Amino acid sequence: MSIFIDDNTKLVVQGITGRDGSFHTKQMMEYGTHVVSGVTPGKGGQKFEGKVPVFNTVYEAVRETGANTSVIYVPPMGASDAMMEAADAGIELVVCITEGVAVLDMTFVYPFMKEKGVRLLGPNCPGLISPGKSKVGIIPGSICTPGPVGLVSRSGTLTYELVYQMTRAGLGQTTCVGIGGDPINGTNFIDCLSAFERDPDTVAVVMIGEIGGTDEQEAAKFVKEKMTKPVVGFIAGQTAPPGRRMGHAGAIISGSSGTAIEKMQAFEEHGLGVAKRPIDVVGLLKERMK
Amino acid sequence: MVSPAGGIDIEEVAATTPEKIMRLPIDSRYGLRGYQAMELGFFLYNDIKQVRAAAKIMQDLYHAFMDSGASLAEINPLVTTSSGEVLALDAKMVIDDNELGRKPSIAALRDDSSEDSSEVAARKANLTFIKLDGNVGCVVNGAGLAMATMDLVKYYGGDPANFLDIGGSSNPEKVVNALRIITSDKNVKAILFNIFGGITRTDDVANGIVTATKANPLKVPIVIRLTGTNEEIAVKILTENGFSAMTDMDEAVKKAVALATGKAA
Repeated sequence: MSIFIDDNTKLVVQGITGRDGSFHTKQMMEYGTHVVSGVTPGKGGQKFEGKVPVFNTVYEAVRETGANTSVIYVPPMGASDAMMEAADAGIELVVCITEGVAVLDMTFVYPFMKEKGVRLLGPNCPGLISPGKSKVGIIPGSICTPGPVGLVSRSGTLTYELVYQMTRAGLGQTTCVGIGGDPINGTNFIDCLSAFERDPDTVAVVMIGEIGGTDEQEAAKFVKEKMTKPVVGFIAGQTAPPGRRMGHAGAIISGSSGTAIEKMQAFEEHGLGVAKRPIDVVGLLKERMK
Repeated sequence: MVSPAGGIDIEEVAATTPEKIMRLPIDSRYGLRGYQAMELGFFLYNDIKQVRAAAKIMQDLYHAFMDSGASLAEINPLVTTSSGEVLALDAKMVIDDNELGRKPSIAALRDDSSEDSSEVAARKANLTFIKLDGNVGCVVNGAGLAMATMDLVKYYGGDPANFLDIGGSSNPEKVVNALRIITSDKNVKAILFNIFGGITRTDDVANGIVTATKANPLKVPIVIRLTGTNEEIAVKILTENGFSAMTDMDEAVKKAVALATGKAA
């Protein structure tokens, strides 16, 4: 088992003919993801790589190819519309890779997705991968291996680092999910933690957070109250100065709130394993999975 | 959010007398409705004229916030004059960087002279850079990994000189710019590259390092850690040009810290 995507995932790629969209579509196809269609307005009727049909609208792509999941590689100005179009067309899971979506746009998109009952992952996220089954987004398939650990993270490359270190240590993954570093994102830590708790194949979970906001603190509380599986956490930004946006729009310490110390203390208090360095995640997992 | 105890130290008010602060969530699909603005006004005033005046100011503030793509709009202080008039005396706005592309008139207001010169140079080169006080210059791809790298520098007894995210795209030019910005900081005693190739191709980074150092030979030692996309090609490029490459993050950080502090690795 896995969460959110598996062998039944039928993917439509929004922005399939763009630079990033075409590159990553090839990577996803090589990994074995069922890419059933693509969308680029004005390019309907073409075939991507000679086999994947391209449509003008998501609605047509769903009607003609039965896509149930979409991934978005369109520029920031068009991304909020792309998310809503996918939801309107009947897609069940929308994954938005695009970085730079305005927060005020998301104050309209977020409630729209909730009302439609559509799961949104991102924006500004690396997507997700269920090793050996399907990948949607940009996480490199080569560093992952199937196994019993679920992983959820706000970061991109830091996720790759952790997965790489876990794989090297023989700890495979059920699903790795990058929820993204923006202040408003469709899927949060708690959504993923509860899905991992329900997934029979996930034995333990790794949660990678960073400075800013209180999502990690709330997730830690959820772990204590609602989860039976062990969770190990790491927080990036222990040396971040207050008041500065550290790359991710959501990664900012406001006043004395949102610091790494505060989050690590919340992990400690609620019984999560607390990794001081990325590599410590491996040891803590092995200890708690015994 | 409004408070009759505004002025300074609102965090203190929030901590000690939270009842003096009223928070009102606004759904942007409907905006700040008239009755909501009145509720805020009644929290501040008893006189209906003053309540209406305050409510009008709240709605104007909300429109300014939405129209300019702000992440913060604040009036502080809001004052009552001796004749009973309600006036905004000072205001502050923060604009979401992601809005600047479609709001050129606001983007034009940016004043480069109020920022650190190296941060301005970095922004123009499409790099995310924040200057810090340490001596280990860090070049990393991805914000989370960049933060984790800084943390690891500190963990092993060093001090990071900066936060620098070269982003996801593979462009040797970005590496050249990154190195120029880092080496212009006189505090930097060692440079650490930590690259996890995904979208970023590590061979592009290697080519950038070679190009940059040929044009401007480095005066401080460099430690390069890269793994992921096209790693074999990158290592070959680096070795042929006299650099050594590492694959383990912890080992690379330890080495960079040792070089910066002058202790043997």
